[in-house]
Amino acid sequence: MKTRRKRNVSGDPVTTTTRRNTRSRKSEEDGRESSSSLPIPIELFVDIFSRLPLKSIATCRCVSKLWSSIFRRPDFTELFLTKSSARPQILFAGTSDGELFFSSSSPPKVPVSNSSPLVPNHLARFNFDSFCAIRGIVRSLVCVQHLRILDGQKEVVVVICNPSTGQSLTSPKLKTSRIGVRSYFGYDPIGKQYKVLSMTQPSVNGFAMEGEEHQVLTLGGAGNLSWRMIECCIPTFCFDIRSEKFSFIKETVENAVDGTMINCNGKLGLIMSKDKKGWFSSGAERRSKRFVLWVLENLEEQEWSEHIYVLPAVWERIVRDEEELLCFAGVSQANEIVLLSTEGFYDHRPYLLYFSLERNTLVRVDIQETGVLHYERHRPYIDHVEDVKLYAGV
Amino acid sequence: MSKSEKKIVLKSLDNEAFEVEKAVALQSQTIWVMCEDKCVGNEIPLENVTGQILAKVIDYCKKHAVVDGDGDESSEELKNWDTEFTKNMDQSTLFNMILAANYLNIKSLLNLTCQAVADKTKTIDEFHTFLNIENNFTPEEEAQICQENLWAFDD
Repeated sequence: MKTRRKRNVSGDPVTTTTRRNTRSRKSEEDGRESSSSLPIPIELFVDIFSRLPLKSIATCRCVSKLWSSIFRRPDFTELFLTKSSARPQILFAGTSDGELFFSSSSPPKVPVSNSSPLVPNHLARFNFDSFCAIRGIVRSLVCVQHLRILDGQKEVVVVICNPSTGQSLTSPKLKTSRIGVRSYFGYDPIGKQYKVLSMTQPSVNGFAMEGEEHQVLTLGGAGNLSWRMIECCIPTFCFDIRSEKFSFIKETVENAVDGTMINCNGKLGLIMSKDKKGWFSSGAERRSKRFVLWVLENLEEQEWSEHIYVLPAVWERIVRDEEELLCFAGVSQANEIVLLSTEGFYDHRPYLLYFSLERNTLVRVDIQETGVLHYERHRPYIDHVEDVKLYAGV
Repeated sequence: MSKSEKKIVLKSLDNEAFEVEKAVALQSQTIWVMCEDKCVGNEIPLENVTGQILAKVIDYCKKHAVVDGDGDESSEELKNWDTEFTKNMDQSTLFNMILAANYLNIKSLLNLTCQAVADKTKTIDEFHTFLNIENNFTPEEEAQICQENLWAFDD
């Protein structure tokens, strides 16, 4: 059937001639420094490089100044982002003693089966001199808060990390002297900006009170990183990343504080598990009987839909250990609730659980351990997009 | 798929002539535009492509012209054929194929060859050697940039 290459593949030295021709023609055309050392037009390089895996991009940065500069071209970073947006990765983030580790893996092939384990790749790591905590993982960036000690003075610093490039941007000093700070991280897909909302919390007799100073940090837009104070006087609220307006969240959702916020195919979801006695938990355990998922269908109308999923009997056979604790990672495009085993797996491999909402099936996918998951606190995120753009700092 | 019996002649940079069916050649947007404009006769000079490369491009176009009308069952076979097609090409041939696909404007071939280069070139050294890239970092700059990208090397 195959129309084999019937023409005689002449092993002649034409190839080298062509290359020289191309090169000299190119450098005659435009004497820019770039063309003189590239054998093919730069647009083609951009195209080829945009197909390389993330790791190769990082190693190629070290090849030469020219190459390093190609990776800073907006057409390259845009193209790379477009391609990686089409194939979201699973990001594993772990923190321990002021260190922050990342690894990532492609999601298992659909339909998900437990045949082959996922093998995550190491990504960049970050070192902080003291306690750090992840405050949010959105798209391609991670928002971290850490306690910096300068001249004996403690202050809270917000740092945005990009696990794909190793770049970290330390925000300017928060406009506060308090150290009780709570930060939230979000992305505005229309303005293509990331924003951090930080609220200081005065504490009274050791109890954190509602936030009082609210400030916003924007990343990815024109200007530099800086904090802007904004007004807010609502206790339980929803913050519109785009308009920066606060609005009420009606407390229709039962036990909202026990839930984990997840991305439900573009809608805000709040998920928790419920055991036989009716106790809620933000994660899942062996004794969990059902998942309760609230989805914010309409923000203006404050319309939440409630979904209850009874776990199949096989749950107890998969989650064998009483000590095991699983955390919710999100809802996949194929409508599966994804969970990661986080504790109590020391006798076996960590794994992801795919709970299909359509078929009511549970599939366990093992993860070949690469170190990151051994750290105490770690978080999975299933909508990670690799972004190799270097953002402008302060 | 109308099967035009009309043939045209493609002439390479080194004056090698290839007679091909029009339907095969028209997968190239460049040739298509040339034919539309009627600015050429039956013989189309392709001044950027050597005979050796053009022969391969024509092989690709023939394969894809035949199979495109055949429906799904052959798509897997076509994929395998594509893999085989680029598998044994050396880097220099691949780069020339990319240039040819770019010049002739054959999207699928450009896609295939760019992907092949990306897949084949795994280490910095390969890029260095093949492209004769000069490492023009100063030692300080190199140390810094390698430090920044250290995570990518630890396997």
